[in-house]
Amino acid sequence: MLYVPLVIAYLFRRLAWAVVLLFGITLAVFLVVHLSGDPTALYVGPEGTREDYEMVRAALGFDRPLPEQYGRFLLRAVQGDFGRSLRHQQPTLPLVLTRFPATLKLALVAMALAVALALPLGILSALRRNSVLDTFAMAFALSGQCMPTFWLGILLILVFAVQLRWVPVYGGEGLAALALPALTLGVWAMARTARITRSSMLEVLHQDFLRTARAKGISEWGVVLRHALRNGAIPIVTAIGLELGNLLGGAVITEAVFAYPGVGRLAVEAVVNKDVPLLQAVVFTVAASLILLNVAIDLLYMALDPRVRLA
Amino acid sequence: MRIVLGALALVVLLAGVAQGQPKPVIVVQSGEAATLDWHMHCDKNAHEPDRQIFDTLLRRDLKTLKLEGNLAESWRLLNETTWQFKLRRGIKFHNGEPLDAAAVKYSIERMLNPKQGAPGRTSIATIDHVDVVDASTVNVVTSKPFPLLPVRMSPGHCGTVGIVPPKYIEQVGDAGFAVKPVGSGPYKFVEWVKDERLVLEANRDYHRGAPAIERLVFRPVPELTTRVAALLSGQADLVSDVPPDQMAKIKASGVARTEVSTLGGFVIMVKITNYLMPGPWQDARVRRAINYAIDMDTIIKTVLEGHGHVLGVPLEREAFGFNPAMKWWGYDPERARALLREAGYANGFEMTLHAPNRRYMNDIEVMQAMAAMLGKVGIKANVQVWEQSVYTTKWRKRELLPAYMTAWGGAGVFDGDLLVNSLHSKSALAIHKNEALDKILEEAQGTNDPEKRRALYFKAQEIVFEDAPIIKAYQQAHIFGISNRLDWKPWIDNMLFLYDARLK
Repeated sequence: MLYVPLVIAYLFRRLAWAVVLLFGITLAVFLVVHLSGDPTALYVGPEGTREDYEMVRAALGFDRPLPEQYGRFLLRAVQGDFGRSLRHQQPTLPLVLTRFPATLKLALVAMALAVALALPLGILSALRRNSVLDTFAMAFALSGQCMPTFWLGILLILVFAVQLRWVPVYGGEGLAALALPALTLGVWAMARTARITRSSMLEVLHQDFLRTARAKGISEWGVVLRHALRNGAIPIVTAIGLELGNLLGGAVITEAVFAYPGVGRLAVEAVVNKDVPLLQAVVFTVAASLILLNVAIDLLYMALDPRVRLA
Repeated sequence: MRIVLGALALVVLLAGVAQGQPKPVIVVQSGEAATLDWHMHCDKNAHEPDRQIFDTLLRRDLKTLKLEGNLAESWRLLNETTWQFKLRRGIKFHNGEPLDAAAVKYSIERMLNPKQGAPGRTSIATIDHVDVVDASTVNVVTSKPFPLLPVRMSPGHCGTVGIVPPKYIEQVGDAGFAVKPVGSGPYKFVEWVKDERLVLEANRDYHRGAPAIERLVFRPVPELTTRVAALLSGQADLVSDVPPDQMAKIKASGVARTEVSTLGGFVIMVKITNYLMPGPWQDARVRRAINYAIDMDTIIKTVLEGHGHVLGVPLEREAFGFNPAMKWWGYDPERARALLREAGYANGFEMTLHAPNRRYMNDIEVMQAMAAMLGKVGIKANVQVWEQSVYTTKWRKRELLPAYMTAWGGAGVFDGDLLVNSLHSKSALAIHKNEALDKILEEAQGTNDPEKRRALYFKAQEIVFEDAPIIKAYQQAHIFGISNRLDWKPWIDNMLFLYDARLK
């Protein structure tokens, strides 16, 4: 079914694009940060004189022309060195990588929570189209998509941590640490996935092959799960894959609200402190993982639908 | 739904298991230290834990605000440029290293060394070198008279000298010291898990006696609402910079209370340039008119809900050299209009007020209220709000013209020298130039005699008054949220110092 050389060629092509894309992304971040002023001010004491300022500026390399600064960055970056964080005075990449697992864990739990809710919700809505259940489920999904992460996070904290005291506001061990942030982060993905599941199920539910399946005497649930869901899966998988990307990137606000020690918080901190090298490393890592994720989804398509060709 | 309920049930179970151990005192902060090396930051979030870990030669008496001995038992001026400190004997760093004259010399000269890159270096740059006289005596030699030297040897948020252990730093290097500090303060460093927690424990051998609290944990929680929620849920014991609108909620919770500190807060002011940007504001009469137009009392009563007070002269009332007889321009819109007419601006003019975004308590609203009041006398003021990091960059480059909000003080200095930082034309924060003022402030900086120095600051305040380079300075109160189990009062510089804290 899969031709190995073809897959390898495809991977190489994607990889080449990834390099171009990452190059563009780092350039964009670099320009945006530098256009809003150079970061020196934040690294000189408040009583520092003009001379102190110039000294620090030169030490940080911000006195050089922008193209030169970017060139230096690139030269080091291709060797895997993203420079030292201005604030932490440590190499940036390890700083990001040590926090990455926490963010990944949060995103995966949020995704699992979202999918566990969204699939049954979407399937049931499609099967009982226009019923009270459908209306209720879709209203639920819609409100999930409407709620701002920040607001929902605070609301959950006030109810479950302050009033009921079931979980800590931040920190904690295992599930207790993840429950509220994962719920907050996952709601949007849940809502979107539920709606996409519903519409793609609706599309396949009335097709001929399902009638054939039923005619073969397969149970109704067998028809729905094995035949309908499998055929309606591509948009759902796409949605889930893209959502996982959103979750990785979207963890910024959730991590800030719940004081969760992940990459998102590092990103906020880097922005606030104009820590350019750290910001570059964060953006690079997240972008690289999103690109990898996209490749993985494409490969998954092929497994799901043999008609998808490696174009 | 069942999955969610199941998960929640499990969470409840786990949360229950986690309880039952004695809880350390937990301080939640808005951010985390980048380094715990006292000499290497000017950062509140780093200073707060460092204040527990390190100690200084002198400190201030809480009631009188007078400097008193700490690691040094006495100090005196030997000649115009030499200060002698006699150290208390037998004090050791947490690792057992002796805190002697050599350690003091090392600490001061380390911070002074330009290669070290200490951000607070400028504040002590008048020091030339330090001589060790004997194991418990040091002479600090300055290049010219430096009356502020004792202040720089007492706790303060930036530009003050914390005493650090030379042998340990030599052993672990600057990078090692930054993440695993050793000091001689009331609490010892235990562990630091970045982004999660910084744990300290009581120093049983502290020279003033062991602190009552066994364990302290500092936790970075970037969101203010989350910090307050942590206090309300009983998860945290101490939160600083609580906004006034959260006070009622904390008071009503039954688990925590608020404490308002009016001492030593930031001195906040809106500075107006007289030379960097041409315009009506170059005329002192116009700047006085602007002051007459602002009803600062009402702004403080409403926007700050009463948590502040008007100063006028940008100097803390407790500061050395503050002239209590000094009255600033009052609130009188009629006179404001008259002055504007006199200056030739009967039809008013337009100006921009640059505001920081949540740097000071309700800062944007304060400036919007000012703009509205200026509107009533015919000055169309537009408030331009800048994001924090952009704001800092722009003020460094003196691009926030013709007027911007800034603050000084609140760092435990309590000295007329603060006028230098806010108003000397060479200061990084100043956008106003008055040569007479510059001269007097420089003279005061080089005068050791307290009476002469006080007289110079009185004179400086008169010049500031006439010249009106700022819009009515005010001080904001600092509001702390404290759990009911913790007995603690804010320290004079509003930095957390938890030596005196105890559990009820």
